[in-house]
Order: sequence, then structure tokens, then C-alpha cells
Amino acid sequence: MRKEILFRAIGQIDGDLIEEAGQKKSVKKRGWIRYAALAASLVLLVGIARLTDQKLTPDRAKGPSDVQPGGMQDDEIRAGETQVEETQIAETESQNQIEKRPVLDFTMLFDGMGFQGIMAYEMPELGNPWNETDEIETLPVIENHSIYAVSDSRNIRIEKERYDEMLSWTSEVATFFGMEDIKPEEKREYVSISNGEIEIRVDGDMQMRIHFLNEVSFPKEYHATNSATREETYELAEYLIGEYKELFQMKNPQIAIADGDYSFDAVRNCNEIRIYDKGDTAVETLLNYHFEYVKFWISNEGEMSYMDINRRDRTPVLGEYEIISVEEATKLLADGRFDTTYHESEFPGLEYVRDVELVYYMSFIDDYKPYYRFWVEVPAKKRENDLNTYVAYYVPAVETAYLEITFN
Amino acid sequence: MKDEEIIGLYWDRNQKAIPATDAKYGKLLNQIAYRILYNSQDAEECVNDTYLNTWNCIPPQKPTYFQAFLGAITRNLSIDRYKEQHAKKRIPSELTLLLSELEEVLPAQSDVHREIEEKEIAAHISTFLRNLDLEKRMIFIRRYWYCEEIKQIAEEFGYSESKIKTSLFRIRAKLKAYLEKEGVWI
Repeated sequence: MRKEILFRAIGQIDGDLIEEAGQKKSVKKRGWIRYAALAASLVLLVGIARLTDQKLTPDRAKGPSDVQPGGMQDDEIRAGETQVEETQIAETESQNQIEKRPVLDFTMLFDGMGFQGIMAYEMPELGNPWNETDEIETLPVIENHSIYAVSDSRNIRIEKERYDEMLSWTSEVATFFGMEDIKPEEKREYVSISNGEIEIRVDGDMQMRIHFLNEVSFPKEYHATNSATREETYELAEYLIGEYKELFQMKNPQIAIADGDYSFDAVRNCNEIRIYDKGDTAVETLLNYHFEYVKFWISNEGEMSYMDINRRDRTPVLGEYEIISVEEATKLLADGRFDTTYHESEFPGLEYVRDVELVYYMSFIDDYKPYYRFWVEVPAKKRENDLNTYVAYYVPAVETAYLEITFN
Repeated sequence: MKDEEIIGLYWDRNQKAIPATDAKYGKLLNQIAYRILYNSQDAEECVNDTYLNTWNCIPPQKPTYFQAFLGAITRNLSIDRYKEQHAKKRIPSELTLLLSELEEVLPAQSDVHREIEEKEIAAHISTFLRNLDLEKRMIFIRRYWYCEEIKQIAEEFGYSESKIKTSLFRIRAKLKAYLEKEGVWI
């Protein structure tokens, strides 16, 4: 792998450069930080009258002193500076509001390989239960306290209550697979159990992976390979629910099927099956779809090697935020106020938008925030074999008054 | 304890060498391994293997830059382990991100290309880095040698994450152009 060779080569650069770079760098205190904070508070003043339901954990609320400077645009900073003297009185009031509802840094932290795109002949179905007619008014922004947000493994400490929960979940699933006599392995950041055929592991953020070392085949009447139609995949999903529903703890399990995408050489991948719980409201359903779901990893040959069960925390909530409409988000997209991992060519224009969905971007390290994800056909990426590439462009879904953002 | 003293312990075959190395560099090495592997047990094992390799290498070696010497071993051991774990499925790790960023640096292939050794590529990269200003050089090495997260680099340098990302993007583009100019094919 060429990039790996490059990574290893960087490992062998001159030692003096490495030691030089390893020296502690003192943080630059830039003069505009306080203005940035103040500008943020001024922006918030506009929204005071509209503050409604606030579900907030007080210790996570950012006061003006610790608003991050990074995302403020230059002209916003200048706007803050010009108004400083005129708004001393308003500042105190606005600080109180900021403590209740923080301005959020929506600058995206992307993780993953390459750019985020789907290769297909036509824009595939995505499986997201959200619908533009759902009329979602507010959505929570949720803190990510997964272990992956911690950079030094020596600092990982899972609270006892959570660890007990992990143990009990592991043993419950182990019992389902007839492994009740096997003792789980209790590691600092995860619990696991194995009988040599099935491995179960639960991480501190309540994500479970069940690894079938002997891949699971399905009864002949089900079509599980990459040539399965959506209907056939749906039937398979119903079978899987029947087989494993005891593990899901869902009141009303729903099937979401994402069409399989294509590889560079036009090999179609399997449709993806996700099971989630239908909530009483559209918001609840959307949250279930992103935070508590089951996903099956089925090979193109139709055998299952993994099952992931997600029970991610939805607390603490950093705030409930008003959501903009698709129409407003589309205007922002047209104005270039989007984020994307694709930088090879310019945004091709609204006429190339092929789909939009309301999503939580499930970063390993960043808090969970709602975005509109536009899938845009990029003509520059069209391949000789007629495969199109649909690239993800993200527009923050919360009211812009609460955003602090730098677009990548 | 100074590096020369620790290296002296290895030369004397004194078993205190390893705890002394761990006391001074254990945390750093653990961080590097963890960012690549995202698993504390694997990270600790790689760090322990680093000490074992170091014990086997010194003597006869006498590294001038001990931290770089240790870190390079940890990185390579961690990458090997990462590859083993990736044989089937992708696991989340800072390395996944780092590799995808470095993809941009890969020089275009040409008919007159020649494959060269990692060490030769490293020498080219060192030369390139010496021609950058100090801050850019540090940011690049923090990201791709120490495997630090962008957030962490941004905090330490007092910049926004976006600025660090932009800066890295530009350095990567320059490095790519430089390697192509030098006829390096990877």
C-alpha cells in the first residue's frame, strides 16, 4: 500500500527534526479571542426571545470565556469589535443566555478514508427514515463521550455503573448464543467473551460487535448475495429480526435498507440492512436510527460475519436547537456554506443535488450534531464505465445564530 | 535521566534501562501506539515490544536521537498490528485518517519512475521539511510522525482546527510537488 510506505518513510525522517517538533509549543494568545466570544454573545442576543425548551447539563455549558476562537470568520470578528463599546450592558444578559444554550462549533471533524461518496449508476436509496414532511422543529446536540474521544489510553476510565451495564449486557447476549458458562474477559475499556466460534465485545460507549468466526449462512429461500433485490433483502431482514429480536430490545423494529453501492470495477456490493426502533415521534425515530440500531455485515457472497448492536448514550444533551428547513439549508449550500471531504473539484451546483437527508454525523471524536447531508452528483468524477459518484455535502441543520463554524 | 545515561544502561546490559526508558518516554510511546491502534492493551503491548527491540538493538546501535529512535520502533510495530487487524474490517483509528490524508501526497506515477527505499524517501522528506518554516514543520511532524489529533495540535499552537487542517493540506500539496520534482515514485 503506497500510502503506508509513505507513512513508514515519515517514520524515518531525521531525528533532530522529530525532537525539535516534540518540544512543547506555547499557546499563542491572540487579541481577538475575547471579541470572538463577545461577537458570539451578540449573535445570541437575537435569539433570546425564541429560547424555548432547554435541556442542558450546566457543567458543559460554555460561558463566553471559553468559547473556542477557532471558528469565527474575520468579518464576524470585526463586527464584534465595532459593537464592543455599545453593548456593555447587554453583554451581562447575553452571558446568562449563553450559559443556557451554548454557541456550537460546527466545524466538522471528519474521520474515515478518502472522501465520503457513493459510487452507483443512479442515486441509491439510503434507508434513512427521515422525511421532509416530518416537521421536526428542534433536535438535541449530544455530547460524545466515547472512548475514542480520549487520546491517551492511560486516561480511559469507565465508571463502575457503566462497566456493570457492559458486563450484564455481554452475559445476556452470551446466554443467547449458549455461552453462559464462559467467563467474560474484563479489560479496562471493553468487555469481551468468546467460545472460539463467536466473539462478543462491548465498548464503553455501548457499542457491541458480535463476530461470527464461522460465517453465518442463511436458509436457501433467502437471497443474501450482492445480486439481491430490495424486496429480497427486506425478506432477509425480516428473517434476521425473527432470529435475533431477543437481542434488540425494540418495541417496534423497523427495517432500513440502503442500496448497495459499486466498486471501481463496477462490482455491486450487498444492500445494507439496519434495524431500528420506530419512536412515538419523528425525532425519536431519527434518534433511534442513529444511536440505537442493529447492523448486519453480510458479504457479497451472502454470508454474515458481524452483527453490530448500538446502544449509544444520548446524554448529556448539550442543548435543544431549532432546525432550519431543507429550503434554508439548500440556500446555504448554494452560498457555499457547506462542509465536505471532497476537494478535487468545485461544488457543481444545485442542479446536481440528487438527494438530501437529515442526519447526525457520528464522528468518533466530535459531539453528535444534526446536519443536512446533500448527495451531489459530481460530473468530474464520472467514470468511463458510466458509474457516477455522489458526494456528501454537509450543511449544519441548526439555526445559524447558534453556530460558530469554519468551513473546511 | 539524560538520554545518554539511559543508552549507557543498555550498553551495560543493566535491566534498569527499560524502566528508565518507560519513565521518560512511556507516555509518549503509548500515545503514539494508541492513536494508531485505538486499543489500550494492544498499545501497551507495542510499547513493551518497543523496549524489547531496543534492548536487542542497543548495543551495537547508539542512537543519537533516542526519542526518535524509540518512536520509530513503536510506529512500525503499531502499523504492523494495525494491518493484522485490518485484514478483514476497518477499525477506527487515527491511522485510518492519517493514511487517507497522506494519499494526497502520493506522487503521480510516470514512465520514468523508479521505486526507492523508505530511507531514501525519508531523506527527501527531511530535506523538504528543513525548507519549511519552523511552525509548519512542527505541525506536519506532530501530525504524521507523532500521530497527534488535529484538535490537540490546534490547542497547543493556539489556532483553530480549520487553520491546522488548511495548513496541513497546503504542506501535503507542496510535498507532493516536491517528491514529483525529485522523481520519487512510491
